[in-house]
Amino acid sequence: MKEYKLPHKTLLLWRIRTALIFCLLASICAFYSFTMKPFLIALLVLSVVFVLTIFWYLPQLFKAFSIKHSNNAVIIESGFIVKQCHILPFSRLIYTQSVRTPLARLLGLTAFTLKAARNKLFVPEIDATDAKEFIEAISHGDAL
Amino acid sequence: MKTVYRAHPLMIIKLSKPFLIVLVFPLLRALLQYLAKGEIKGLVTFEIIAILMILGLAVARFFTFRVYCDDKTVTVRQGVIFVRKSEIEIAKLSSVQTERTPIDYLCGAMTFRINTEAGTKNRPDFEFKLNFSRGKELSKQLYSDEPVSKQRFSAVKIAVMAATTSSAFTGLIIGVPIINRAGNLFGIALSEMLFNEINNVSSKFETHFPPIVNTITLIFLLAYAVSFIYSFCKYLSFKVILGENQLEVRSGFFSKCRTAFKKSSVNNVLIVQTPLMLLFKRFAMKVSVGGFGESKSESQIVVPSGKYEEIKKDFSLYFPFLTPNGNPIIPKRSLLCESRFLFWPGVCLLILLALAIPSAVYFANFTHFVLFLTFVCFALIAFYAYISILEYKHTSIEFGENIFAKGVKGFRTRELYCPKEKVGQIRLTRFFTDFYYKTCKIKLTICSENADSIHLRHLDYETARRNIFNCFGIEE
Repeated sequence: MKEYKLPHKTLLLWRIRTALIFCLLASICAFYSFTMKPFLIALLVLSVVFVLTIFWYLPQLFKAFSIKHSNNAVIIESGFIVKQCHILPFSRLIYTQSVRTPLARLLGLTAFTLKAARNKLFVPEIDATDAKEFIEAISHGDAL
Repeated sequence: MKTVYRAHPLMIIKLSKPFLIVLVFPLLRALLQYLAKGEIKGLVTFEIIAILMILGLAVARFFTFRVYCDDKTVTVRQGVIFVRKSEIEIAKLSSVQTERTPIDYLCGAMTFRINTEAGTKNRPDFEFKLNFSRGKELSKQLYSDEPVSKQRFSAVKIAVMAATTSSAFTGLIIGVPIINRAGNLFGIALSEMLFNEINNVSSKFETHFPPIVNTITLIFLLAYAVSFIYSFCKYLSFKVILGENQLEVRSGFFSKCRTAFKKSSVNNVLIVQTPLMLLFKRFAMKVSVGGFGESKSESQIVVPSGKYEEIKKDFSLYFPFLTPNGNPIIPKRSLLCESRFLFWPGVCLLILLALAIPSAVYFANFTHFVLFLTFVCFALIAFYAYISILEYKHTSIEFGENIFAKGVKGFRTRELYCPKEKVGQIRLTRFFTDFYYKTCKIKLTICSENADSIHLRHLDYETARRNIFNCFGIEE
């Protein structure tokens, strides 16, 4: 059984994404906080959530994430507050779709989705070479 | 070796279309403002920049769009900023559909659709435009099966099929939006003009019934005619090509459509008879394919109209599951059982009488109209009773390596054939009367999303249960 873990670059990528969203929301709150006080409280709450997400939630979440493929199924384990385990037999896998955003491309990462009938499993960014190897293994049946 | 296919330039329009619609209206408004006042307050410039950006993006997406195909897989690469690359094993494709609209003809293009059992509902998994010759090449590469036999259907058979499957309701669904759109386009009240004309014509007929009855009848007849023409044009030049491992259906008059799917993707076969087909003693055959069409499991007509024996003879070799091999379970042959089938028509008749008699007395001025409605409802109930008797006579289910079930849905008689492994769910339901008579209702559903199902009534519970357990190797 081969196992893949999420690399540190994935954590960096998601930290950048979270930071970008935070900057956008924070700037809106900051703009309106001059005229409306509740926006100042919202800004403070947002900052706390941001710090917790960046330094506690995301590292734990990605640490708990693992992708394995055995001889006949893909097993994805995720979550640390609520643990989840998805088992997708190869016979039910229809196709894979990889997605590369500009930021992910810069860091050499690729995310992909495993599509099955009536279901799909999203796998966050892993190393591009690992992703290619994984997709080829399950698409061409090397893992079988 | 991988063959690379690029999109046809028509794809640019397809890629930019969803966004352009939003931008065209403010642009037109601004242009009108410019023509009226001679000035534009910055809106048009912004809109033009936005349109150019959308077009630019569409062009970039067009240039980067690629389809790679080798012996085993087909890869679709799309997107510029967010690059999506989908790798699909050819064996996992459920259907490939190509379509040529008149615009495609003029531009030498074709619309190509690839379907799998995954993907989003209500749209194909992958849809793109290719050069006609390249499209044919890709189609051949994906489905290169040599045809075993070809079947064409004459215009008369298509007309019979169109006549027997068309309905006034379908005609209304198709016709009303067309009339509304045409009216809006030409800026005339087309629907009102048409309605006045119908009123005018119907008033010239003198019958026992009030004029509104004539008007309604005329509307229904016109709607039926629209449905007939639509159905006839859709299936004109209908052709079925049977390959060793695949099935191909070609149809269409203005817009040519070709659908190819693997024989293994066929979930079940339905032999259907509509009320009008009953008169002509004709049947239609449909195959239900997983992962194709709007609901990810859709029926494709294979025989529009034919005799029962002919259909069975032509296809029983191709679809081996058309030959059932189990013990038939049928409703008990007794007067009591027959009367149970006639229970609901009887209830409907009682309700009709309970409504019609007081209505005729209370609305004395509308006696003729009430009489007309009662007559129509009575005819429908009589037909329902006839169908119920047919259901009693023909209801049957066989559980073996191949499953066969025959029943009635609405006013249509249906025969469902499928291999054992394609069955998704079998539900046995029992009500109070079923406990007393030791019978049950069986609902058989095929293992696919929005799949076909069949309901059968008043079958012996113990026999059905035993046969199901034996068929699927379940220990009691």
